[in-house]
Amino acid sequence: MKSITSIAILLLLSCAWSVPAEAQRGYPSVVCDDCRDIRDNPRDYRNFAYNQVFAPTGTMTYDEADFFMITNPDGQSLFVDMNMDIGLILVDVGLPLPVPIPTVVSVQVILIYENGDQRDYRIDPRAHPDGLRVGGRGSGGGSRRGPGGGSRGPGGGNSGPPGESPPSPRICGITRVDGGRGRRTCL
Amino acid sequence: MKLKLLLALLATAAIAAIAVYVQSPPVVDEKLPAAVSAIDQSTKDQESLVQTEPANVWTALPEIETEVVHGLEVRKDRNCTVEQRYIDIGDGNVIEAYSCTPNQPPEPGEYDHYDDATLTTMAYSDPVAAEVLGKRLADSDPVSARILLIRSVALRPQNTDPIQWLASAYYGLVAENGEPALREMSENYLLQRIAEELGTSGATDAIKLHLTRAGFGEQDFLEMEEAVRVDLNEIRAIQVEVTGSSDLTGWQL
Repeated sequence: MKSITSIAILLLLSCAWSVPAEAQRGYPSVVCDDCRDIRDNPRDYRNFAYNQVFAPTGTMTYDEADFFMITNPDGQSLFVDMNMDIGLILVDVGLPLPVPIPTVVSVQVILIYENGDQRDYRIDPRAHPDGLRVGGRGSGGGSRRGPGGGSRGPGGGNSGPPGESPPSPRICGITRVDGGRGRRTCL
Repeated sequence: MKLKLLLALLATAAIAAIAVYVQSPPVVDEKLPAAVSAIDQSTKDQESLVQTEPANVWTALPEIETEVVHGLEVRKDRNCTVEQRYIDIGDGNVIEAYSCTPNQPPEPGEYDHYDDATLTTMAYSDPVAAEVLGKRLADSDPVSARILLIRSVALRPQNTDPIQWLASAYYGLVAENGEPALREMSENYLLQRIAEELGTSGATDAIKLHLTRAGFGEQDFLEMEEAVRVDLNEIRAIQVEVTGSSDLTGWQL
């Protein structure tokens, strides 16, 4: 009988220790290496959360993405509550009538900070099929040169007809970043 | 003997319970109550949203195949390598988490190798250059990004993706600590209305719902229409300047 009891104890203990940490907590915990300060750059976390499901490098299913934690390499972390609105999109597949296909039409990402503060975002997945950018602008983004490496762009020369200069570009537009009525601004 | 067996089993169960408790990360559990109360509220919000959008059909989405890697359930179709990580969160506490490193760097886009100055010149008449530069600048210079993405749409009005991208990526905040983010939502609505006027149907449905719930009335929406008119007129002016003509009519100042 002693041996049966010992086996029972061993079996129970091994089960207890084999439960993954994720299952104990009830939510996955993910590291975001490119996420910057949690308060200054909340969009990094929103974008990273979105990418977990909708980017080509996504690892989560819809169910797993429901609630999880993101931590940056500095140990800052927050929780994410993600919900998806599903709609029926009519797709023409060559049949007499278009076929309704269930599609995610809107993604709600709520960032929840340790103190309970939260930011509620909506993302249209159709506008971001390849995911969203996380972290700052890519290294060398502003100083990248064409394949020729010269200062005159790709090819290193002006290929236009001699004596004909390109139009002087003056790129202007209406801005309303600070709210209120539009203001004309030029680059 | 039966009593001994019963006691042994009870002791076993107690040990197992203690083992599970000891393995739980205490730091994470301290953070959870505030998050749980927040998620309760967000769930209520979501339920209310679902009630107004009867087309929500969760179960109709296709199943995603998964597999277990390092004790974690991850998608089979992922294009990255799963790693188990331990992150020091201070005070001597370490949490267990995972990351997924892409298997190969993203494919560079056709225009990615151009520098900003070159793209600025090209953006005068090239919608793709305007789009690439606008997206590139969106973080650091949102004013220029807006000008460039509107320009991209003006140069290729059949493709409203650039302004819908801007609306979703940079003006997607709906609420902060329960307070409606009116400035972001208004800008989002404005960009989506422009997309609608250029032929993208139903672009404003979702954001209009949020604005209405935040207290936007008929007069507010009328004022937004004035802003839409100003932007469409600008789009028309760009088209006339670059190509000599515009299909946009009815929006002249």
